[in-house]
Amino acid sequence: MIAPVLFLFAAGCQSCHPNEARTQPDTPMAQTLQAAGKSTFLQKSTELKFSAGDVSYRIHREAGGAIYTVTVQGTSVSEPLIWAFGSGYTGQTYVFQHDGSFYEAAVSYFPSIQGLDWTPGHAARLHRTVEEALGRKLDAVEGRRCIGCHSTSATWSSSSHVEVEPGVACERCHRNAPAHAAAIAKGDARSAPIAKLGSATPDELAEVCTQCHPSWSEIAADGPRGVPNVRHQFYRLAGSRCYNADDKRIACTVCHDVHTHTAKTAASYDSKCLACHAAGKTCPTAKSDCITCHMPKTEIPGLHYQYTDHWIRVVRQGNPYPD
Amino acid sequence: MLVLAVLATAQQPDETLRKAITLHQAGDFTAAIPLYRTYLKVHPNSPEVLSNLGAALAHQGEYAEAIADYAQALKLQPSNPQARANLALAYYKTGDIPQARTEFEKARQLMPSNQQVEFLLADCEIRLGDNKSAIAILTPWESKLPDDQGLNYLLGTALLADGQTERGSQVIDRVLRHGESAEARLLMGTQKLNVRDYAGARTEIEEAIKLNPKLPEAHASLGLALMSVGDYENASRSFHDELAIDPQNYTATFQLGVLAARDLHPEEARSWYEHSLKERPGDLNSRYELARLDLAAGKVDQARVALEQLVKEVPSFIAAHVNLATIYYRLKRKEDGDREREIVRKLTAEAQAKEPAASPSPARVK
Repeated sequence: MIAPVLFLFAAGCQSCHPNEARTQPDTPMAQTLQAAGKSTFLQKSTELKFSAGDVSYRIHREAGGAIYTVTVQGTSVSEPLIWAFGSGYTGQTYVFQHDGSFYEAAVSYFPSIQGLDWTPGHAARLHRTVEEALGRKLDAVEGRRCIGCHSTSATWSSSSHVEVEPGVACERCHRNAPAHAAAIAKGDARSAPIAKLGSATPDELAEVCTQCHPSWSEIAADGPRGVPNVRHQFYRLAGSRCYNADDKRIACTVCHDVHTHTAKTAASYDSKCLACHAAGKTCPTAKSDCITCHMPKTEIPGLHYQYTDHWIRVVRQGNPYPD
Repeated sequence: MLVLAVLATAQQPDETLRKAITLHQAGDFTAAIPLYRTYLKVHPNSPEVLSNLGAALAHQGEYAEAIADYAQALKLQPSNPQARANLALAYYKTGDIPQARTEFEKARQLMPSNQQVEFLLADCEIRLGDNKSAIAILTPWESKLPDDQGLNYLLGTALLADGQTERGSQVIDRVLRHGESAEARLLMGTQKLNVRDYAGARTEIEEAIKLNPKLPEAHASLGLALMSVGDYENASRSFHDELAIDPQNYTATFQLGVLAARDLHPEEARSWYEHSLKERPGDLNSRYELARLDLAAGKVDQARVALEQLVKEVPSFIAAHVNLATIYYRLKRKEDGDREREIVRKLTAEAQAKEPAASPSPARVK
């Protein structure tokens, strides 16, 4: 089983960083893993259904939990869902146990359609039997990888039992946070300084972010190619003409404050663009909302979400998607 | 498969040789072998008899000894075509495909347009990953033997592996005209793998395996289909099944390396890649993966040298350029890193332009 451990966010951080401690738990990263029973989508819906050909899926609430049922030609298997992966900002994928192994459910919840559809990659799988249709068995390596990125810490006592601190909290990115907090408590902050990630260069920041978000080299070497790589912001951003690994003005944290989750307007990013583009040639089309044209929204088929393309460019109708 | 038992007739055979040949022709290789050896003690420089002995030994599965006898025969008579073809076949049977290819090429010079030699040479080329050479060898036979199942299977395999889907489909159609067969199913599975129809590929390949559980490459192809949908456990099982049939199978050895690397077992991965490199000497993918293992192990300079060599040999090797860029940045050689990254961008754009269905620019959504 996966057992959640009590998560004491900012127990040692909030006294010095009260703003971050207050807002960070509401961010998608902080909520990127939660117990399935706590998923707001699953709590809101009495029943969710999806079918394709001979296979049908149902998720329903029962005794505070969520039950996943797969039926193929009259044969059904039901298992309680354990975890919901993803905050639900773009979608949410569920994990359950079956015969002692972890499985990724074949269907996921997509808020834009307010319902279930194939979990990415599952449409291409065979669903001839209920065992095949259940989902994808996660081996130990994959289980560790999934939980590793969607949690702050995970302690595996066996391949089927793990204690998890779900979601991304301080020390997931600030690796020396516990030592730093301990040093502060002793009144000796200098002995364990913490890196200021907000002022890092793109390359320095990549060391932190690419622990979970695929790096330029991972995508460039192994794909995916084409529109599906629009999800991989590091790769896309590095393709931009204005990208410079040493220039802090184009680092992730310039636009993304990972400690807060506030809906931003397109115009709110203009100042970031103008930090470089204020002088010289100006845009002949518009004076604001730069990203709506230069970072077009792009949908990956089947994912029901429009991703912002981080390959910053002059988009001309008919030009191929730069890859 | 080809069996070229050479039963040469000595000009003045003595009784021992006559008996050996009679026994050989009757299929009693166990009895023929000592008689050939007895004769060779007296007449050690008889290439025909050495070749006969090699053939008898090969029939018994004694390929190492057979190779030694064929080699001796060819030393005495380098232009003996049958001994050359038999030597090639013996290497082929032992799984030494690179050496078999070398010898089949020599045999082809001595026996131009010999169907069996050419088909086996083409098979070696396919197994060594040189599909274009296999296609070049097999294409002239297409008009002569349009309904030859062996030819169509080999040609179809090479065409699909080379990405020539349309022509490959025409060849598959010829195979299918002969009705249900494991080979036809595997070809269709391969075709579906190429177009990323993994579920369809799996169905076809599983059917091929049902029809012929020992069909070479079928389990390896099933492993690829399973890997593509993230079923690593069963993929690994399929690759091992392939190796139980053909311990030299390149696809299975290479992919087991990929799986071991994924499972964070670098030493096991290294061992599989070294194995796959042995099956395909000079193989770019194996060398690339070995360099990646070196990089992951912190042997940055070793990885750099290997990758620089790879891009020198194949300037369009995108993944090698990607890793070189990473290494240069790590070594604080920013200019070199930027150059490599620019090469990657250029090569990727070129590759994208060649694709028939290049993705159009996405619609702007406000």
